[in-house]
Amino acid sequence: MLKPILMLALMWGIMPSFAADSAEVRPDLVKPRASLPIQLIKVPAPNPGEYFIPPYVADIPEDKYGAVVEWGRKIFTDTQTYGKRFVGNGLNCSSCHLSEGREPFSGPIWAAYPSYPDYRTKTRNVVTYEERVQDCFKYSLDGIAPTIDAPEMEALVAYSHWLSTGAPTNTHLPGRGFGSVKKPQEAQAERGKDTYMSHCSQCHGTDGLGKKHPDGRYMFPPLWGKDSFNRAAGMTKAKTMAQFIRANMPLGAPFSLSEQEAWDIAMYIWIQDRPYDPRKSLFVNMFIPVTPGQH
Amino acid sequence: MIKQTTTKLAHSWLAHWLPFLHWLPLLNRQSLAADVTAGLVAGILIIPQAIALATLSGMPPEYGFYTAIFPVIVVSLFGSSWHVLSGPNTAVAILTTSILQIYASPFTPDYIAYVITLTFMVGVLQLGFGLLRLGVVFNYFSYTVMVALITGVGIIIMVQSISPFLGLMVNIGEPLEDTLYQLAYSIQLINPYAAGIGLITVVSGFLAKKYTRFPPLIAAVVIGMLASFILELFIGSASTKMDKLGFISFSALPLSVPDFSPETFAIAQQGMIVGAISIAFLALMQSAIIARSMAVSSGQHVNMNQEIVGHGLSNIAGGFLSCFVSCGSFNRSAANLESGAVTPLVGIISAFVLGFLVYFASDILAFMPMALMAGVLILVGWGLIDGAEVKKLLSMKTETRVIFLLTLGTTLYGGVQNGVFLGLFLSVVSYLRNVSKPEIQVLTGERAEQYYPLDFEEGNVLLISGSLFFGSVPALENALMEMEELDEGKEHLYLSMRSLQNIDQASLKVFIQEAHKRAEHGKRLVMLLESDKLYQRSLKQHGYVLTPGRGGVFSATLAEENL
Amino acid sequence: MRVMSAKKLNKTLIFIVLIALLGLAWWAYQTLQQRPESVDEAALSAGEQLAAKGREGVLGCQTCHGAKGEGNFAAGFPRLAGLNRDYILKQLQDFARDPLQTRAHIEPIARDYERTPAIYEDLTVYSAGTRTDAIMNGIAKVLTIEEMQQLGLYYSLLPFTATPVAADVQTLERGAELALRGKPEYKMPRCTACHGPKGAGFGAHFPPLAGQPPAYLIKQINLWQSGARDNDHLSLMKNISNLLTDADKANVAAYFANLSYQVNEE
Repeated sequence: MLKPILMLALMWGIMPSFAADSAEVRPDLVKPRASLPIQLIKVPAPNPGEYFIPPYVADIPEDKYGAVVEWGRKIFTDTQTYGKRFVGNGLNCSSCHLSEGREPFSGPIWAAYPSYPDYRTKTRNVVTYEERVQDCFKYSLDGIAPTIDAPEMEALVAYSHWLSTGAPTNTHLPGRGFGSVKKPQEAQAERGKDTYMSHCSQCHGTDGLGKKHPDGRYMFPPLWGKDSFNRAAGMTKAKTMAQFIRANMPLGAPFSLSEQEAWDIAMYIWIQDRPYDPRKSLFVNMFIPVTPGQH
Repeated sequence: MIKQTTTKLAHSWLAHWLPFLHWLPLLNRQSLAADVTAGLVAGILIIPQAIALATLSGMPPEYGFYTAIFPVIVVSLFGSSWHVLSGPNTAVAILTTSILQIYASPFTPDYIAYVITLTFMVGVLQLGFGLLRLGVVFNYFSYTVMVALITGVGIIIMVQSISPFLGLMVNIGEPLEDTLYQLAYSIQLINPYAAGIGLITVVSGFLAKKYTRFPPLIAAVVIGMLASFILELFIGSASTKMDKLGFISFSALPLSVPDFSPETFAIAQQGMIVGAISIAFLALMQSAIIARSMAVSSGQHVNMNQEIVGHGLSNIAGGFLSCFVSCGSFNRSAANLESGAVTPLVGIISAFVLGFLVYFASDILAFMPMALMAGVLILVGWGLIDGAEVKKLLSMKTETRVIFLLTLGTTLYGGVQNGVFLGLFLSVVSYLRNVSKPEIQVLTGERAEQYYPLDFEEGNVLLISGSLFFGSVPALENALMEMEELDEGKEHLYLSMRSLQNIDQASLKVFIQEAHKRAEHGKRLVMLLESDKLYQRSLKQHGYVLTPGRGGVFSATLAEENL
Repeated sequence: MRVMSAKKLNKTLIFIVLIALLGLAWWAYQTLQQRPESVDEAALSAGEQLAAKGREGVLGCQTCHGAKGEGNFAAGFPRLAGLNRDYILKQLQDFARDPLQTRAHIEPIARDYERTPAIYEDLTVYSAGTRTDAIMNGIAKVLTIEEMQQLGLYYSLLPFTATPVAADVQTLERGAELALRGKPEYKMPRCTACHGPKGAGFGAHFPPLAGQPPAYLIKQINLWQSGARDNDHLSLMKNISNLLTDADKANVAAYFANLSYQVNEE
């Protein structure tokens, strides 16, 4: 009971300062929230005790295996440099697989690697881990897939293998993937745009094209446009994007957005332009529309 | 246009150390224009080969470009031939992989370090060869061996390229017949799109070679790239599942250092030293043959030792510029001559043209399918096999046929390194064999009369030409035995040795023995020579006396007291 | 050897000259694009004046922040040299903003990880934010907007080279873990995700952490946590601060103090 009163008072106090100088300092602020935040939200995560803890980087062994693992880690975190031969856009592996592939609900590698080979609905067959990584290069990194015997592929597999030290194979690990999000009644891209501008644009830019360092590398990755993932990537699916957003974004405040908001933003991102689907012909890419849930 | 007149500068000691001073002062506008055109063509032509040969050597594609750019500059400046263009070489690439893949997996940073170290070692060996004036050695290598090696390499390339051609993956480094087995069993896994693009590449290369004057490799690459682009417009690139080359990270000055540190070098030491020797030989053999054939076509006098020094320096420089071993390239040099090159400036121009092109074209080259490259390699391998030449060699009834088949067999089944060493061995053996068979004709009666002066007593003649050394003793003894059968040792024996260069201890012993035998019957053994050189050199010390005779003929015979 | 005709010769030479000109043009374009933008000299000197001597009612900035804006490591006063000018402007504005009279003291989230914590929806998300500091509040209230901009311009152009502070290996390893990988199991992102790959900061919204006194960094994290400083957008820093233990704060501050860092080379 006390809380709503406190909050009302807070809003009363905030109002003047909000009106005075916000536009100059916070140009990306668009619309304030319509209702008061009064509900407690129980979130499934983070529950730190539940998740697998991968070994520390300082503990990479000093032998040949460790050298390949370290190389794989470099490729993972700085794909622009070490995987330059294969990557076709501005992203790195760690742009989405946060914290070098360790973070639960952010596509952690320690949950993915031990579960392959597995059936994949996207390709309707059983794939090995290498083939899965090839798909990452072809779609999410909009590039050229390394051959299965390429040394970069071996390095990435070695890194994944090391990161999963101790993780049980073929077992569903908590924290795998991006978590679940119930699809709300109707997700609106228009609302999503507002939410995007107030919550996401400070890092990802009002145009969604990310922010670059002076040397051309991306600091905050582009969400659409020619330097982002293409139409065949998993992140293009609105559901996956909504799951990812809810569980990780804004970076530092996971699970702070409601499911509705996450879906709205996902729809807004989905309607944007991005590179063509390499599985389809040019004609199909240009003229045949894709639904938000399509693989 | 440019005559090979030697200028005053060329004579100076400076020109000896800086060979480019021979041609640099002779440049004029016309030669510059010709060189620029030829350089443009050479720079463009090398692109598909550079990528393909880098992959064949187990190196990422940018290293092929480095090898096509930097060593050729050094060879142009410090080599002797005006038309040889240096760069990545097919046989050397295969040899490199077969030596080093035991120690590191191809394309990994460890492997790259080994290759660069190997390049440096080869350069040092070659430089040593050149500075020690051992270039003459390469004149003695059997042409048969060279053809056999190159044919073997061509076959190896074609067989190895079949798997990427079909979009399959097979274990490399297996014996040839195992590779073919693996291919046969993987037929159902063929990627039809990759095979199609590869087929288009190969066919267009062949057609371009047969019907047009357009360089066939360029035609093959351009048509193949167009075909794959059009294919992927209709079927997406992820659906064709063709492996592509990837974005080449090309740096303007790729400095590197040969790695002799104990951790990495010690394991591979043995193999690398032996390997460096075999590569150095293979590279120099090829460069020597190319330089000589270019010299024949262009009329330029080539200083073989200078050429070897140039190649040695280029490989040493290559060790510091991320290159693998380079040597003269057959088709590059021939094309160079064809396109009207005048001076070695062509090499330098082609290097800059290539660097320029790659920098801007790397985004297009990224989408080159590996099947296309395999097609290019098949074209290259096919081009190495000179069917007419092989037929000629196989039809010769001498030991040529045996040498060819032996070397070819060893190359195919034992690897190029063993092929090189066997080839060297066989070259030497065949040389000795040929040299050791002096021409000896046994002449008696009337036919013998014309070979000794009129005022000499009647006798029989042994007509000897060639060289007489320890290896020729059996032939000599055979001839003497034959003579014995004819005249039972009861006639004078004249040895007509007009064109004989050398006679050594062992052969002399045979003659002395024969002289003693004849002396028992009161007959003489007389050597008929054209000059007293041979006498002064070898016969005097063994107790022979020289008597000048009529018509400029000297006769040497053992002194009375020595009989 | 073929001899080239005069016509072909001329064409070839023209072609070469054309290519060379194109190359030159391209090189010129690249170089000109990277030219730094011009600086407002008047504002710069005014800012310099203000920083050095202040004016009546305002202490000169360099009394606490150092003669060259390098800060005071012992006392924990942050360096200003090389910071983004819009960042300095915003911080001064936030200092100037009145702390809320009815501001509730927000308890830090209970660090009881035995049970799944409950997280309240964001309470202060749409405030431009305030920043509480005994000294700076008074100074910032007196400054005008123009003066703040001048100070921002001046300090952003100052050069600075950090003196790396030695620390033992374990501290640095732990600090590196946090700075480069965060705390994945708590879903705390890595510091470098926003503050730049070497802690050098990024843009106007993410200040550099390298070259800052450890005492300052730790104090600020504590202020985020308690709510005395809440001028971060979307409470990102607040959420992150809630996930750091005191030892973590010390380790990560030591890590950033150990980095070599240089900005605006002289």
